[in-house]
Amino acid sequence: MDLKERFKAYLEQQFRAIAPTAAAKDLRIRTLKELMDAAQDKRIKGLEDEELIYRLCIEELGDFEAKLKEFESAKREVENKKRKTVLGVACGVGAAITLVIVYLIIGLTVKPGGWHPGWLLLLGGAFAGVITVSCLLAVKFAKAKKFLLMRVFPPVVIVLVSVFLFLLLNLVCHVEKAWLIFLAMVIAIFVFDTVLAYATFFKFRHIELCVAVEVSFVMLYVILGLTLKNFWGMGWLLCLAGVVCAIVMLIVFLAKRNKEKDKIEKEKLRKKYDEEDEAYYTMWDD
Amino acid sequence: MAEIIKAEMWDKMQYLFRNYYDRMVHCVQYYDGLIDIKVLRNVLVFLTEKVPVLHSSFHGNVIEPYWTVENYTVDDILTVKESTDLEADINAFIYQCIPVESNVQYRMAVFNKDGKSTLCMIVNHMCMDGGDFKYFMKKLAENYNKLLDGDHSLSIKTGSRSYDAVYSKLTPEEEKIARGLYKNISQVKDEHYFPLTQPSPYDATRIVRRKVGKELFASFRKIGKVLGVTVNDLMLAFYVRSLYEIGMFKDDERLTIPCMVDLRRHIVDGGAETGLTNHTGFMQCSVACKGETINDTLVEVLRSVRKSKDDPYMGLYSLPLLKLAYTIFPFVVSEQAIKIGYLNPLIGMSNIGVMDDRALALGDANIIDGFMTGAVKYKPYMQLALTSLLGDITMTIAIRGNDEDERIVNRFFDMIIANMNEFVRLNAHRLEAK
Repeated sequence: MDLKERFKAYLEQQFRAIAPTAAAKDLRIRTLKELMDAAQDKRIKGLEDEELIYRLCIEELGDFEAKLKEFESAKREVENKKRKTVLGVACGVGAAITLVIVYLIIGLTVKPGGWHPGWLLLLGGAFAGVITVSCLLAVKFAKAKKFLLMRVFPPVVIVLVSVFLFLLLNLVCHVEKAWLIFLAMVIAIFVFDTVLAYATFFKFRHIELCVAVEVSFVMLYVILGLTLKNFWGMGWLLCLAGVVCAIVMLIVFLAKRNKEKDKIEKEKLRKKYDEEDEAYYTMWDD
Repeated sequence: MAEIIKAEMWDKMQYLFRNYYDRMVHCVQYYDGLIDIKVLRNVLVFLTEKVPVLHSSFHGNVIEPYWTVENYTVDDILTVKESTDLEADINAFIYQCIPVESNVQYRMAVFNKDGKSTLCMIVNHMCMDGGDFKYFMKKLAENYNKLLDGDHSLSIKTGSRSYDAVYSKLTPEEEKIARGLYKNISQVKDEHYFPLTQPSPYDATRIVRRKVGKELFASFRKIGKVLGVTVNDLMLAFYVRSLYEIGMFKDDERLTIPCMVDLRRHIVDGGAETGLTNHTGFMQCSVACKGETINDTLVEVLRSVRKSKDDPYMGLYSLPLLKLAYTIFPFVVSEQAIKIGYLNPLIGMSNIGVMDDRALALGDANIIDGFMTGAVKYKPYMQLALTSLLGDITMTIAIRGNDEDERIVNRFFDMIIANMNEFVRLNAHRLEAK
């Protein structure tokens, strides 16, 4: 029997493990072609032993039985990824055009001041686009357990939201100290990232928490100093409070860790010195 | 699209070592009969197909290096030649260096002369170390014999090439400790160097070899057995004492030399299921003084070696540090960082171990002689490699040097042999007493 017939016989026998569907037939034909191609490659490389070629090609299929089972049980889903992408792009473009039209209408109809704060609509739209993409990427990396990459995106979102909020408060609501948002933004970035660090069991999360606490206290000091009268003088104690808070937290973490380690060591010592076994009288290393 | 293989940590480290040596591992096996080339060709294609890294080219990408699986034919790997000057042919073959960009990462040659074959092989050290090279040669012979007998159930291990297989035999607790061994053991400063001549553009690759002799080897091995010391300990003592002599170091100077350690001792089943790769660490052998006699040198060596042998994490130091450097920095930066922190030992020793003559027989052709040796070191670096076969030890020192360097190395071998003889003379009574 030549190699092709042997491959065919092998595949016919293997495919009896799954239902005889048209898809299974297609897969069988495709696999035979792959096997024949692989056999040709082996001959070109210098392999002359037909039996060895046969075995190597079959081995290269890997756990074929499992692959067939997987093929059979795989969910048959409509291939709509492309269509979904087109829809998403259409929605994005539609939203952008709508915003431009709304902006033009407001600019042309509302007078005076229609054009000026109106452009915030366009900026808000662009920011919303970037925020959506950032959120999608963060979810994607989170699913892939690439947590460090995932944590790059929340600060982007926080910065964009803060910038937009500042512009809105400053240009539309005319809030005088709207720029304080940028100081609060720093706190938000650190706090959110620390939450993520704990949620993903980041190795240096305890250190990050201490840094976040200290930064938050410093920012709070600056915010209060800028808003309250006569706060600068004694207010710096707030920064020191942050340091104390961070140190206390570190000590608590260390104490907790020591306690856990002590417990393990105690258990080890108990096993080593208190547990008795007659076999220890005659036990040697060699 | 070409298939990509991840460059493992040891691949990158061995690539870094291109600054110190030629990255080739060498093997020569002399047989008393002819090798069946047709069978050998089939076995070689089988082995190469099963281990993709052997037919891949390496790309030192600045961010993350990788291997690309390449096309090849067995003629890229195997050369067969009727030889008239066997030693010249062997040397010409094993002195080659395979570039990392090559489509195959190992080459083999069969030289036939007077009805006998000599099998030579060189392989990129990035693909495997001495431990797996020995395994590869054994598997080659095993598969050759099977195919010769019409048995087609050939095999070779194809598991993971990752460095962290070295933690597989440890308990979770031990593994946690081992993964925290960030200490840089290469930083033990020893400025003693082997007295070779100054590097010159006219230097050429040389693998200088010397056999100890069956009688002498048997004698000191027997004495070693009586004293309860291993051949490795004895060889370290002979080596250290000879270094004091050839280097004219002061008798009370501390001399530290690293001795290569096969890390497969920490792997489940001794690495029988991992892929072909490097799993080599080193232990430091540090002697405080030369000692009056060779026995005193042996005591000094044992004092140091015992410390390492009692350490359950022998050879595992610095691995987490290397891993950290390759993880947090792009490749181009990590190479520079490691280059700054890593001090390549000026003098080293690698005991590749026993070449099993029965396992290396190819059909009716029995192995009658042979050796394995590591990479060809660039001056001032040097390493003594040892292999034992059929009750004899072959010492090899592979260097890029000139005729004068070869003379120095030969003089060094004379000193080692003299120390072996001295050891046998001093301890002969122990054999008689036994």
